[in-house]
Amino acid sequence: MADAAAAGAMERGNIIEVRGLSKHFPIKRGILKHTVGWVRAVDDVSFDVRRGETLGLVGESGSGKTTVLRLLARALEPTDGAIRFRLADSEVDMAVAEKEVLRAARRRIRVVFQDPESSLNPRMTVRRIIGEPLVVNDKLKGEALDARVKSLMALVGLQPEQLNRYPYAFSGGQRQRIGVARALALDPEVLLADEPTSALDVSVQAQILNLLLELQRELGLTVIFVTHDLSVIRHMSDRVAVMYLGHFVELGDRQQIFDKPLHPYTEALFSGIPQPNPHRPLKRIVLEGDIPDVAQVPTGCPFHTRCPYKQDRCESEPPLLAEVGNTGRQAACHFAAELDLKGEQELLS
Amino acid sequence: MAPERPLLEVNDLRTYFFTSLGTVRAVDGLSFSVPLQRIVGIVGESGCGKSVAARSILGIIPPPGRVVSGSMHFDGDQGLLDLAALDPHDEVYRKTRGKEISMIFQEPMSALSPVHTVGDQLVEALMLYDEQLTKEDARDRCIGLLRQVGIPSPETLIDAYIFELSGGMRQRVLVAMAISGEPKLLIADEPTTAIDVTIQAKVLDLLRHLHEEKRMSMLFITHNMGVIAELAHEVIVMYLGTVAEQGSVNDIFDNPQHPYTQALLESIPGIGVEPKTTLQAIEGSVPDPYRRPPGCPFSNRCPSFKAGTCDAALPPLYRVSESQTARCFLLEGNEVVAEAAPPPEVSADG
Repeated sequence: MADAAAAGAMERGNIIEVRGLSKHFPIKRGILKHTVGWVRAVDDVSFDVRRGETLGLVGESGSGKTTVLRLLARALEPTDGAIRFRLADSEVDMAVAEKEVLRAARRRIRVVFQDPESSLNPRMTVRRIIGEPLVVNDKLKGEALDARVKSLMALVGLQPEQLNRYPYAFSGGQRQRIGVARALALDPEVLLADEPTSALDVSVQAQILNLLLELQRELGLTVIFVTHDLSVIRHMSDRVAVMYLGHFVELGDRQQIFDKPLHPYTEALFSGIPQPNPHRPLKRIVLEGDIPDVAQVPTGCPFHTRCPYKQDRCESEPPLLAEVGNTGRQAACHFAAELDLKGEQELLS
Repeated sequence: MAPERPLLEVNDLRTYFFTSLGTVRAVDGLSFSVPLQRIVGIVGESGCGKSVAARSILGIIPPPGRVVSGSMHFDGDQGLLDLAALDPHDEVYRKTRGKEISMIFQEPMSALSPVHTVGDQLVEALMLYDEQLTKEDARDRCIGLLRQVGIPSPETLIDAYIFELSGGMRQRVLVAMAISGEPKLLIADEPTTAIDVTIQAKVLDLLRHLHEEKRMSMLFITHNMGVIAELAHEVIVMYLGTVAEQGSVNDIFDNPQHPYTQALLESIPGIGVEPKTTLQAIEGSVPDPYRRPPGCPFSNRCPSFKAGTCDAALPPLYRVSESQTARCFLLEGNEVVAEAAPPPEVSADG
């Protein structure tokens, strides 16, 4: 099989290898819908995910983090690139996989959505919502189905006797637990979490974060966690990727990135987190201008229009994501090795 | 010397919504004041009544909601007014709203008109506040305002439509509109929730700068403890329509007394919390407004819950220190600042 051959060179320990992944959306105008330009939502992105780790994808709106997640599940057709998964029973390139292969792979790669309000069908009982993947894929029914749904509900901290209720009878946090239970129904290896706590209250957010951490430990899941909330990324991730306008600008170990970022955008992001401590506000690095339109990504380094350390070279020459020195960390900045950027602790006053 | 009279003094405010399913006590016995030239932050989760409180002050509560009791004394240009006693359509109220008390809303896209240019909307507001103003002067003032809130090349941007602006720029236009009448009190309802981190940093800096420059009092509403710590002088923690705790920003962050405040602070994965460890979560979730727990509103989630006490009656407001009060029976023995008043008997038609 061609897919398996392509994936044959995967490094041990990696469960996902993404190479040169791009997604460009056409901008159409006029009655004839001529394509007048392209939104490069994700542009030539390459990264690995190790088995059992949590990779946090962080970025602001328009950075392409959610698009990357959707491409991994092949909910979107990639424009270019390879997405190789080494699953327990097969190796697949999700970017080119055909129907049957894709269907099998999607059992192992499940998504938890942002808004439990809109991702759960209000006219289905919890039994049907959680049970649907089991009915479709495993042809479970009757008592076997009920038993499985109940054990999933218990796993995520819901009361199994509530299986005949509808989503409206549950609070926001409980609904997100239903979403997690549905994602776990087919014993996945990879969980793709798209802002799973952004629609929740602070007091409930902690419950869901705890649940995800616990499930990952128990089930050995690999998690890709997308959020704009840096505090959540810090808490959940083993490694972090920072995205800006469709590019990875920095990728590396969570602690190292928060201690000493290598990309000026990462530093500016950290300095913008309001700290719940009135005595130690952060030294703010206020960036010039707003995030550029994704349809008009600046030439050269996409960040150069706002970068406080910009030099002439940055306007014309796009930096590639590459290892900086022998740090084992990657950054897409011409001056990553020279800049002395401040980490979270140093930014505290 | 007698203490200076606060700009706004809200006392036992109750705003209820009379729906077909029952009465929602969205704001239920809220008391606080905004002193001159201070920033007061209201923090709380969804359903705590923080936005309804702000809208009550402005007199823009939509039916079936209504301010049913309490007072809101505002010390403005027209003397000391009790806004709660005024008809929202009253001439005096209309002169106060927008000009003396203005508001920045959360979603700039829905707060601004999509079919008018930035200039049209700002000029309209300016000419409403100052009837002598000519259109040309208003336009000049408008450009000045846009420059003040940090909009680049305001001379061209004044003729732009809202959809042509980025999220951060839209929020700035809203800020410009809110300060156009040189208000004494600026209410900001989650002004940075819909925007990105790097832009949020700028809007917060802008608001702080405006406060310092114009000595404007502010009521800042948010669910984000970090934003509160950064901006507010005084903090009000709300839960289910009432104050759980209030105090100076240092009181609330260094010495929180109410179990809800403590739990809120502990549940944030901030600096100093070891990554990938279990967070201190608050059990359960904010109750359905139709099914409030008896007694203390936080009793069914509280880690210090005492049966027979907490579910029997609403605790009074106890004094913690000169600047801090909290509504929790754990403080029994402390001076009682205000007894808990039972909700009044009211019906939809008043």
